[in-house]
Amino acid sequence: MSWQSIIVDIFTYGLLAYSVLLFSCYIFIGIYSIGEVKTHLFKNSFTDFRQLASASQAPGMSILAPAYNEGANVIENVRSLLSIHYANLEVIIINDGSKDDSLSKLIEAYNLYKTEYFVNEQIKTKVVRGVYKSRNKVYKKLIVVDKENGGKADALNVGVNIAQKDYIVCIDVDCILEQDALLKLAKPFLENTKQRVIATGGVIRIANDCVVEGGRLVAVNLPKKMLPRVQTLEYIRAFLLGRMAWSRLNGLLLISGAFGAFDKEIVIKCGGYDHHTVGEDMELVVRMRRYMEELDLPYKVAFIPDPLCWTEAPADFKILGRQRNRWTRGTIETLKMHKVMFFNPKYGFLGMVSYPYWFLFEFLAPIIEFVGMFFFILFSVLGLTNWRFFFGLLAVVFTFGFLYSVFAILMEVLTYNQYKRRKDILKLILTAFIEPFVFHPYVVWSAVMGNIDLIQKKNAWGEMTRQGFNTPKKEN
Amino acid sequence: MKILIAEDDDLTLRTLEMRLKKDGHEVIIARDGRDALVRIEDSSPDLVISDIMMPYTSGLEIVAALRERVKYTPIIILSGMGQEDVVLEAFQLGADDFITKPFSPSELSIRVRRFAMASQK
Amino acid sequence: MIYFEVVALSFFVLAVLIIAFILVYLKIINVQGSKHRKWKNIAEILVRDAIFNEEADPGLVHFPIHHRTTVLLKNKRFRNLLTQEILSAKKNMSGTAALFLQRLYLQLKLDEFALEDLSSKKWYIKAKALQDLGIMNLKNYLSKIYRQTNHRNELVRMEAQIAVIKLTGFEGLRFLDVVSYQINDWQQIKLLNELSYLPASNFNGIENWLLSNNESVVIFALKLVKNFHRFELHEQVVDCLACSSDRVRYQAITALEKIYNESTSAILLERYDQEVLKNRIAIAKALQQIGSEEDLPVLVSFIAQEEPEQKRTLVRTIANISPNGLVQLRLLPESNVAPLSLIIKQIEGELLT
Repeated sequence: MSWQSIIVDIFTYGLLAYSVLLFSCYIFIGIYSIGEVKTHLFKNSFTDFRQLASASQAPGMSILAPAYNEGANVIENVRSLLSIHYANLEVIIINDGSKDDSLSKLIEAYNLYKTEYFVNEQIKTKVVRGVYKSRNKVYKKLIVVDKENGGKADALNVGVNIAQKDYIVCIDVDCILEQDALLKLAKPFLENTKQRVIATGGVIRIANDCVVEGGRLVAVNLPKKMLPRVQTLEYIRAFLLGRMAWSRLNGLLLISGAFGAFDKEIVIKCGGYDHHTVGEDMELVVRMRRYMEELDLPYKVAFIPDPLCWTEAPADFKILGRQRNRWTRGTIETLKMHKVMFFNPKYGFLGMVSYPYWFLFEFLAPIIEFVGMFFFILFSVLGLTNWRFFFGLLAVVFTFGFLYSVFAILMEVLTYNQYKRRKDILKLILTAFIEPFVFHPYVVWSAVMGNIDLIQKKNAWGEMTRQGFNTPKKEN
Repeated sequence: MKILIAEDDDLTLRTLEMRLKKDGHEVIIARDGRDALVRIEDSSPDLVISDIMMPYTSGLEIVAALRERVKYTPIIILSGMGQEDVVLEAFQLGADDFITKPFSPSELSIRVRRFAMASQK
Repeated sequence: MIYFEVVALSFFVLAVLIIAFILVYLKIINVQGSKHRKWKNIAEILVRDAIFNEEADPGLVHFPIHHRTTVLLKNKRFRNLLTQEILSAKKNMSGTAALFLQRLYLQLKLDEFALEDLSSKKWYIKAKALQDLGIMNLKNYLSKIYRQTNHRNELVRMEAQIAVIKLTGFEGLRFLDVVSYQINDWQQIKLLNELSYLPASNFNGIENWLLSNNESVVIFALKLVKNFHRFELHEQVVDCLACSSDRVRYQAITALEKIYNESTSAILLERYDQEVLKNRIAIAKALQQIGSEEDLPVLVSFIAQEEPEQKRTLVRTIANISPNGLVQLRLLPESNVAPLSLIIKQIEGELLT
């Protein structure tokens, strides 16, 4: 055997072993999530959440919604937040030094005045310019904070400093929430007697081409454009299978920054959101878990699979690429900050399973895929490729990916069934078939670019331009 | 008397509607808060019966909006039990009466009659 | 090498099978959907006729049931749908309308099916049956339901506990004497909500529950004291302030706020220094309601030692007790420096609105 063929063998069998390991995890996740989803749905079927809406014993929740140059829709968005069913609630809008007329629009629409408010700087932030409340008694839940621009993490920290309730709910101001969203998100905090629930994550669904009226989702449609449609599938896979299984294992590392609730006391003790990373949402959850592990306190991060929060997904490649680039950097930064936990038995399940999984499959997967392709081309040029092996492995990877997506679609149909029409489901299945050829390589490429950018220390937030929700979009 | 009912629960809404129509009232229905506000403007009812938790606009906002109108329109709030705080808030904003769910249709019709008599005076 | 093809092919075949299943399932759903609408209509008419029945005595009424409906009742799906319609109506109605609905439920013998479900091995079927029997207020099944209040499945015992209260009122709370599992906060909210429907009554048992070994029972008992203003239990509640659990002491503080007498504020202030932060906040908030002029000097003396957040709560309490409070605060040397100066400004602003 020549040394070249030894290298090729190590490479190919290494790749094979990695794929087998990855597949095993996915199969486990897929199967393990079924039970959790089932239990959740059965429980929901005879639960009257409305009892919580007005109960004086309901835990106090502060919604924190940072807004930067959202002037176009901010009035509507705030209206929709104020109409959420929950009595023990305050809605805190943080104007993060917008350059547009967001603040003056809010002042006028909600009859706001500037209060003398002592901001208790439990977490260090940029300067707060003013705290506004409404003269109209109906809007007494509303607090608008004006601050100097400091980015999303800093804005959220200001919100944490100002919040007066025990739990904070972080959302993107342009998200569309179902009206019972908070009731469902609050319930896990009340349910555990043995462990402290430190955070509850919710599902994000894709709102492109859905009909929105007066800040409320009235009809769910499958996105017409290819790119948001693939993301619809991607989100179903991630939320319905992945997070559900991780939540059952109590190993959830990520709560989406667009919709999640946190125990404020722990957030403050951990020092709030870290503005040094672009992945502040993941980093906070990891830090809170680490904090609880280090103090050896029993805790849980809960997860609610019901579709409660709808947001618009990037509809063109450029913005999608920036978003994925940022996610990659966030993941790496988070993993780096907490590398002490890597296979560290002191951190229990978190250190031995959650963290390594994230490292091996969330961080390394795109790199391995990319490097694999690179070497394959190299070997081909050198005439070393075993074509049959290569295409065989490729076929297995492809069919497995397809099977996993189809399984996710099945779970969606059996549970929430948001896209009721047969045509839509067929479209989703077709999307699952096409994804590996177009969408997936681009996502891998963006992730690799994220790695490269991080090495070059480009920390800027990818700007995310959104199409407005303002006009009710009519279905054609 | 012209009565507007704002309620998002279909069964409750239709029960109320049937009962009040039987009593000889003219009934306008709204299935959410925003619709209710539009209909109040359009048809100027003599009495409003409103749920608290509704889509778009809550019953509390309807109370506030009614009190900003020139014509005084009485409003009865429908609420679940154990909502004392919310009911209190509704009264502070200017609600006239409240009925708790579960409610008895015949009791409701007696309360409505009281408002009808007051408006005739 | 050949294995790759086999594996890939089997994945693909499996995917195709799942797709086929999805399509068949959607087809079934679709067909059921149209049938469902028809059934719902039938059920709604039955329910409406029951609510607006003119018969004076609900015990005597016999509802005319169409033959078609009787046949349909053999179908489980229709039965479930009809049961659901009756239940949701029953939840919203009281008085004779509610009695007519119960009558309809019994006449259709839906209780027999619920009873069957009650012995199911699946927890969610059992729990649902318990819920249904409770909502329909079927007292003759009480002993069967009561037995489940300490069931090892959480959801089953939760529904059983709610049901016994629906059936027997405060009397039903006797499950607290024996319950060996913790009652979580969500269940406590549901129980209190259920109790709030009942006419006020001076029920017994709280004294014993306050001494329970089950911490959640003690907490629940304190909430009962609070919600039902049981002034006579003041002394027992004060004893709970010496309990080792933070959560129990917290509930005791908030309960005392509702059943206070002239000694309460002094007792709470005496505890203040030894308490955890959450409970210190609770004491400050309680004093805002029950404090008097005499408590001001002690409250003012706490200001210096506290974190800004707690300073704010204390200042709010002091300012709300009497205008004199703010005067005393300004005598403090630190009242001219931040954060206290800013806090005082904020609270002054709050008092104006």
